[in-house]
Amino acid sequence: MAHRVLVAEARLSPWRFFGWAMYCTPKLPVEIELTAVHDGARRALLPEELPPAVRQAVDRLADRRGVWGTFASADRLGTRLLASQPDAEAIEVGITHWYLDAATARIGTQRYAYTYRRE
Amino acid sequence: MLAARVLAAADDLDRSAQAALARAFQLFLLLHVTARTLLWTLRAQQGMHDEWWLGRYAMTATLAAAGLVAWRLPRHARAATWLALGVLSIKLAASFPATSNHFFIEYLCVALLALCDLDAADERALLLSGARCLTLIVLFWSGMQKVLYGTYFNASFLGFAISSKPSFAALFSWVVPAAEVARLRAVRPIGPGAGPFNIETPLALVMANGVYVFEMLAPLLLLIRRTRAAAAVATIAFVFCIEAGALELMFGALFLNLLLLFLPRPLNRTLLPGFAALYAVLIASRLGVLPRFWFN
Repeated sequence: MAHRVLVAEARLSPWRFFGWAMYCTPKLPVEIELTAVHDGARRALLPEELPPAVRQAVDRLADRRGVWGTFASADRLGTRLLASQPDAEAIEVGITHWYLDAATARIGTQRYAYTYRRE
Repeated sequence: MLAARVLAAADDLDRSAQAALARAFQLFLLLHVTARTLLWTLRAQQGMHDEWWLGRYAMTATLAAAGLVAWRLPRHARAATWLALGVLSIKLAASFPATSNHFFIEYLCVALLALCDLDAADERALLLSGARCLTLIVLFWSGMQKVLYGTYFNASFLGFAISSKPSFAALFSWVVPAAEVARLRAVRPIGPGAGPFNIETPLALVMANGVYVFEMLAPLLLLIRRTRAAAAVATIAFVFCIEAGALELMFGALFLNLLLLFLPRPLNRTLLPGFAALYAVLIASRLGVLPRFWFN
């Protein structure tokens, strides 16, 4: 039961941690969108704009979020992004978890947004 | 204590077959973890994922050695099992948190084998009761999770599988009419809001709902001695159909061997060469010696 609660509340992977919820819901992706804030204006950060190491960090976070859900923090990525975008006053990390909504039988999403401001 | 009563209920009244049952289970499990680790190694090496594939080969070789010792030198079988448990502990640490649920079953079963002395009747009985209870828990909880997630009431999980995998569409073509398969396969792109993935065909809905009903009912019938043998045969057939269809061959073999423990005769001993042959075929396929086919 704890496993089911953690999946619902924290987006823990239903396919891991001995919960036996494999084949209850499909494995669906986690998407990450990055936004830089310059002088109050928001601009999407495209993967090709990022240094390779930061791109890899984004992919690793997506993988970790797919397993650990919200227990996988975006803080380290946010800090790295701020360092790689010296002109940005803030970075927003948007993480979207897809899931199969049993009630509607459609793909639903749950989005989490994290903002990292330059001090 | 409830646990003690459940373990006792999972025991046999006639323990005459338990020595053969336990011995065959021990040999199967060591064979299974060796084959699984080798396939895990080959997948990593062929996929060029990292990472210490030499270490993986060493783990495979150690497990193979443990299995051989257990087979040819029975008086050292328990020590060999402890060695296997040590190797699997490394694998657990290396794979966590991506560790598959199947691996946890293997690990717990090997741990049971290491902890119990198969030469002592009471410990042998405890091993078999423990493995049976683990099977009951996994079976029941799989069904309960399907209820909690709700994706089997309207067969939306099955519908999604048909939509996204041609192999599933082909597998369920005898249950789901072509028009509905086409509708599901036409849901593109698969993204937020995509669907609906529910299935409307009555037979498919009955089947989908029947899965969790069976998974939650079978454990009770397996626990009751009067219905145990018949329930074991039914559950074996159920698992065989699902795992063969899904090509989950390794887990299917493991779970079938757990279910064979519920039978009064040591059929698992008779079938052991067959499982060894199956694993040889799977490894040969993964190596390219036999035609490759996808399996899990």
